[in-house]
Amino acid sequence: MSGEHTGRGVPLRATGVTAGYGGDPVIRNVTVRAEPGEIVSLVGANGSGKSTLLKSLVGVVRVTAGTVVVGEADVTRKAPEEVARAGVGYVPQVDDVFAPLTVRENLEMGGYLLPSRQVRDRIDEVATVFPRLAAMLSRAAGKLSGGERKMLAMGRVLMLQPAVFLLDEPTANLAPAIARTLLEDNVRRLAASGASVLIVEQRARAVLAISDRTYVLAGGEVRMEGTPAELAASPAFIESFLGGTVSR
Amino acid sequence: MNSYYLINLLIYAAVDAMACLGLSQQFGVAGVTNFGFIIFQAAGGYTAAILALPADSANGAFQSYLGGWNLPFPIPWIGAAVVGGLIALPFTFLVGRRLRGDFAAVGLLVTAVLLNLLATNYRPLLNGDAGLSLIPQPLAGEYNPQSAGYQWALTAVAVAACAAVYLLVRRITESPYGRSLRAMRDNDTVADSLGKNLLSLRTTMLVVGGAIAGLSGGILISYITTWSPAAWGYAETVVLFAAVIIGGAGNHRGAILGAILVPVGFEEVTRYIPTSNSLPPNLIPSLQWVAIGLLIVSFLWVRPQGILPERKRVIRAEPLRPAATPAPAAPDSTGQAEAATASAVPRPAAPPPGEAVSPAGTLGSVSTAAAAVGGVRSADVPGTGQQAPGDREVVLQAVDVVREFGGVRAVAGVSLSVRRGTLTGLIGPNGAGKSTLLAMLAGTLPVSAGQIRYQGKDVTGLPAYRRARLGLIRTFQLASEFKKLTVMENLLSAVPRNCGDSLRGALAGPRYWRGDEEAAAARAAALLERFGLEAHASSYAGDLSGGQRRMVEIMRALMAEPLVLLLDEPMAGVHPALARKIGGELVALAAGGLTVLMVEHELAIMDEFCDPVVAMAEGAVLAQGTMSELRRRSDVVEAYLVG
Repeated sequence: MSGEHTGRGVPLRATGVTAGYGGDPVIRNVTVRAEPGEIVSLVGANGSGKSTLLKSLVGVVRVTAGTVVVGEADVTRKAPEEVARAGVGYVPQVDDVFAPLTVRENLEMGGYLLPSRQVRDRIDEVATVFPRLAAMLSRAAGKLSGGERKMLAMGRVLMLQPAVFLLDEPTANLAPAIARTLLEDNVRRLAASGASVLIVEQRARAVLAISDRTYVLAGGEVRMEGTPAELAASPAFIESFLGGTVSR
Repeated sequence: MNSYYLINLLIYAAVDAMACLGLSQQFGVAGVTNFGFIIFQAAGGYTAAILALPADSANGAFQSYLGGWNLPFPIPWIGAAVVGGLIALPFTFLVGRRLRGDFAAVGLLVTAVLLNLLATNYRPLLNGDAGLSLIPQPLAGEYNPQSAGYQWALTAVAVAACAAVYLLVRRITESPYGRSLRAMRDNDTVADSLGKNLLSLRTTMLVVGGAIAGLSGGILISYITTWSPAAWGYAETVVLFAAVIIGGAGNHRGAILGAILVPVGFEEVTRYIPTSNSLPPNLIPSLQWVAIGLLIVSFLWVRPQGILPERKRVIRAEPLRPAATPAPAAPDSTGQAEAATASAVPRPAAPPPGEAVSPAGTLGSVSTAAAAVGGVRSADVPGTGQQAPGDREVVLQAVDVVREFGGVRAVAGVSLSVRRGTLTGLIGPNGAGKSTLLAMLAGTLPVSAGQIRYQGKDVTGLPAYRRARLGLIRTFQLASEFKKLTVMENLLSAVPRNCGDSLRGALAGPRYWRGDEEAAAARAAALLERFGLEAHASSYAGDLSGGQRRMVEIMRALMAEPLVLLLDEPMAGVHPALARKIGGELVALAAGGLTVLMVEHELAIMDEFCDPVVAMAEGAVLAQGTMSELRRRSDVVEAYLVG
């Protein structure tokens, strides 16, 4: 991220997390961690609980057991805004940008917690990360294309330079070139600047290529864990994720 | 408790419950926020009054009003219901068209205030502020209205009318038509794209709810024998909304419970509050409003679903087995399609053609299963299997289409032909105008200039629901499931020809539509099984994961029996193995005559399944060809494939 991250290295540690929407828990006893400078990916079938896990880490979904710790701060069952103040940036799967506001106003909302004189500088920095957004700062977010909205949702979270970055399928609606830039360039630089990155992706090959470690979720539990090299050596993993078709 | 008190309580409960049922049908089921609801009850009250009253000249100018026909029971009540329904028609201008729900609600509220001011201040109309009084009670000539027997009989009739209204709204709500209403409530743009006529649905709901409200007004004035503007201030609508929200929006029993708790309960409880001369005279009624306001706010905070929440409708169905049911496809298409699929798309998993009807649900069985289960309208599809894609008939065409958003040209003159039986891909960088083009093809967005042609006809002026009924079905880039419908209901909501999916069909009752419903449910169950979502059939679609919702949307589109399917990034967020399965299903369906135009960024999908592929950039078509041809074009590579 143009190298200007403050470099506060803060790990994310979730231990034994059980969470759901009332009724049966969607994820059970999940333990994941992401260290500063690390890119950690979560993969798994549809409905395996990946998004729910991210939501439980940021306080959107209620954690019924286990702990979520960001650096020294225990954020278990804290409200989403408190988790954000602890330095966690979260880009949801369904990117809800503020549709009637302009791109610039959306970014300003993202910088809500910043001193106002820093906001303009941060917008300029975010615009260098997503040049496409720079060209449309005064356009209403509701009139952006699907991929542009995703970039805006990412950019809005970037405004706060979070120490921990949670990304839920950031490339889902992106054209291949931008998807590749986002993963190989932006996300990598984010980690290189000291942030801890936890990323959910369906483009398994692409995300494995940039991951330091990967968790495989199934039925709401962590089934496999390892470096991409270790997982790539596992026949079961190849079978379900790298079946040779959907590459890139 | 004396009997007068009890009768009073019962009649008010019945009248309020009827009104709440009408509002529950409009607001809870169909999502029509009618802040002018009380107008309809008022209209019923006045109608019944002037139908029952003698001409105003008869009472020596004691009160002046229109009409005064002195008609016998039950004409005033019937008139009340009819007028309550008819005055809904002008309001169609507010709730229909392109007016957003919240604007329509404000418009209705303002109308209620205006009409109340008019009735209050223009005396010749309905005796102004003083209102109408001495309204003759039903059959007052034959019986003594003061007698306990008469009063009890009137009470019984009111309660019976309330029960009849309950049965009516339940019958409507629990039918396929009711499901369409709930679909519209959850997401009207999507309902429109599936062929639901929103204007007609909303108008019908205003008329039905208006007739119920009118009848309730007619019954009420028969008991209280007076009717004045003070009885129907716009704030009374708020009380009814409070009752419906607290009872449980979308649950008719909740509406009855809410009616008993809020309007009736408050009126009664405040009677027991001791009064003294030191208190201002209006304190108690004012505090009642405060209490109703607090009650609404606290329910929206603590229990927004109400005391009796809308209940989940579980529809069980045995999957339709292709082997057991003759496929509606042309007799020769299955084998041909199988061969065409196998040759056009080399797939490692393709089974021998002989296994086409295997119930195992392998890719090979799909074309048969697809014809039977996917419900593609294949009867009018000529055999397309052996023609090269380029020779086939053009089924969907954009001619110099332009779309501007406030000066920005999202689509700047695109011409595009989609040929029958092809899986045409549409690629391009973000912001190239792909989704906008799809929206214009489907009619979700009007074109700024240019023409859309479908099956050789100009459909540029046709609204989305009419195009959908012709088999032109789209999906959406962003999640668009009907959240408070189960997965099964989401699928059933798209079925185009269910005889219960009209007000008349709904009123005819379950016996009339059960056959259609069961056939559709069997098809839906088979689709769910093929896509591996059968375990979630009775989950609310809003509770599924992102990828599962994408699949619900694709299955729902297939249930609509499309001729042409417009898919906007169907594989985004879908697990790769499943994405590939969906691709295989689409290829098989295309071999059976379905045409697909698909926006997708997953190039492996384009490589494997789509031919031709159209590349767009900056609102214009850049190139068209196979994916490997496009990869060799420097302009495409420049615009899209490298960053």
